[in-house]
Amino acid sequence: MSLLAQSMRQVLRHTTQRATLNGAMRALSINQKLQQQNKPATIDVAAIAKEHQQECQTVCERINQQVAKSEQGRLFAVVHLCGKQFKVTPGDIILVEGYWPPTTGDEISLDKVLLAGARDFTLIGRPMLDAGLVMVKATIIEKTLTHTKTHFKKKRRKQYMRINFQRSPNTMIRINSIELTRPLDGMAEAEAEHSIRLF
Amino acid sequence: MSLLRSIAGVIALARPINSATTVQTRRHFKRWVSPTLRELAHRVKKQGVQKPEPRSGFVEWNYRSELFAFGKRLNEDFQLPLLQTAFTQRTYAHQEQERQRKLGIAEADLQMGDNSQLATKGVHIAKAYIEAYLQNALPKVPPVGQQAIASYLLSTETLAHVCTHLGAKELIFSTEYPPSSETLAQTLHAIIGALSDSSGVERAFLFVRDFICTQLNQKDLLEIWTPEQPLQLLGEICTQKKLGEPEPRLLGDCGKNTVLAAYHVGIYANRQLLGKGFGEDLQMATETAAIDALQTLFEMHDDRQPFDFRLQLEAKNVRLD
Amino acid sequence: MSNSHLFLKSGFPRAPLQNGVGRYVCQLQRLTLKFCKNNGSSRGMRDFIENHLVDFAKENPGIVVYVKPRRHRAPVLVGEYLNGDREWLSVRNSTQTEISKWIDLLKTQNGSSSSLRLRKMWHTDVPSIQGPWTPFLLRSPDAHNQTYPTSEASQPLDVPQTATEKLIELFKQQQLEADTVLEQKRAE
Repeated sequence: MSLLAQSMRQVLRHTTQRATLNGAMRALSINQKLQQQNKPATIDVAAIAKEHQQECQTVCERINQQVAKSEQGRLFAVVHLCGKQFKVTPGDIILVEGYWPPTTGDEISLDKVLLAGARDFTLIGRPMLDAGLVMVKATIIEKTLTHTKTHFKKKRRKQYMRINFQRSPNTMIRINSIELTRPLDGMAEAEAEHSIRLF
Repeated sequence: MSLLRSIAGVIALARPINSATTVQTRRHFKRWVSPTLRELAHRVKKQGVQKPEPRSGFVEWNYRSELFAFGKRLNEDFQLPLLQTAFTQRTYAHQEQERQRKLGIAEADLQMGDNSQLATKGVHIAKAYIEAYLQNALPKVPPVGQQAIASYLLSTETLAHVCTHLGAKELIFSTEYPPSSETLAQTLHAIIGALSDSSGVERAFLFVRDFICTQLNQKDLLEIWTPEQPLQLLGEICTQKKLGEPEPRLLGDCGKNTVLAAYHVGIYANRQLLGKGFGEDLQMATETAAIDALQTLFEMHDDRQPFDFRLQLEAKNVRLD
Repeated sequence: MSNSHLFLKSGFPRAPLQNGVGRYVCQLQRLTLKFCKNNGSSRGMRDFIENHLVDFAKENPGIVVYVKPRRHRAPVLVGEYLNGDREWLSVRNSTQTEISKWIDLLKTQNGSSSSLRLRKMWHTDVPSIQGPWTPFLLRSPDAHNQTYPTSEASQPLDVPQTATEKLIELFKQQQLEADTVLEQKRAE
């Protein structure tokens, strides 16, 4: 129920028009009865929005306190790399398949962070976290080719046979560190929905 | 004339027969191939397992360039004579001196350094740095635990593993090949000593951090050190920190009186939950819960702050004897 | 697609000696170029040795390069790695650009890769940071105080109405309606 109330509040924060509210309710698959119950009630939207923001603020402050004391522990992140998503934590190894320019020994930072989390909190991007909020550093440790893959085609009774051999490039990456670079700002985080990102 | 014609006929006949026979010979393996190979395999088997041949016995081998490349590969500047001394085992040096004495070489030319001095120096450096590093990275772990982790890092197996993966195996002057793990460990110590002699003790510290401390990456610390009698230790720690008497409480159970029983026990002190654990009986569950509580108190969990391997410890914090 | 790779040795991504956690170490320690001085199949190799080999050795001081001429044999590249692996490559009739590409591959590898099929593209020793799920997680405290078996918990969550029950209900409703009609008539 609290989840429902929270989502209601979220919906209310965006708009005051009842028509869209109805639409949103339908989207949340709340049954008609509940909707009818809510219909005649007058809701103070501004108050609920304010309450929600305050809640957001307190959560962010608690996270900031934990990070300031460096008690957050091991961080993990979901990064988007070359069309795939990886859940990584410091010390992990991930592999990128296909051609990718960086060479061995290069130190890179993975910028597309979809989610970052620790023992007690999770920051979820919509769809991505703000640029520069989470710093994921990595080192390229190997560039190699896969084993030989055989592509063999044959059509029966048609004198047709083709055989091809293929090896595609693979890149091995070591994740060195994941860090929160700046304290969270509850207000900005709530409003930064329309951040301009080109990728 | 008829004789001539018949000869020509024979030659004409002989030609296709000849070509046919040549093709025929290529169609099958010679009959001696299989028995010969079988005999060779039999002889190899009879000899038993052979020791691997040292790479230094090959034609393409240049010890000087190998030594030079060893330092460059690790991004370190070694003095090459020092490095060569670090690779020379004492037994090998003695053997070599004996051999030269028999050949009648003057005593003055028989000087051959060995790595024992460098190794003792390296042991000091590695031990001091690892202790300082662990002190920095795991401040809440008691000295017993830190000692256990340090001795894991400085154990012969770990050091031998590091040494082989640095490519030192082929460079060691030793009486036996492949060198034993003790030899490899001693050589790694000697390399650290040689590095501190050639480019300063700070570089040696970084070497220890980058190649020995990194063995702790994502390692489960409980595997290296598990406190014996965790409940007792927890009691002591709780009285030290004034948390109150630890008290195990049953949080949940299922499948009682079956072979698949599971108990969930929490340890409370002063009405605060310290740790939880599972077990197939109550005693086991209590012990796991106590270990969990200790892990939380010592910050040894998997989800603790990961080791920082880019950390620059100041030299004054490292206590060299 | 044939399935011959299924019989290949398979493994998981690993890096030797936690490479890249501390500093990056190039894993190729030795490179041997074997070639013939006058055979045509070694021509690209000879060109490579003339034009690029010295630059390569200068750029990579950590790799020991051996050049081994031998008569009437095909040219070969042999790389030796820190983990003890040895990669042998025939470069018969290859041009010098092809050879420099193969050498680049040998340089950036961690060991011989051709003999291993990878089963995963990710490796971690810490799979869960927020903790794994257990049946005891977030369980209601009420569940602990109950003694089983309980009659309440033994009931199915949803018992559908039977046809008989429905008929009885309909019958009662009809009776009720009839009664009200009767009462109305009486009132009139």
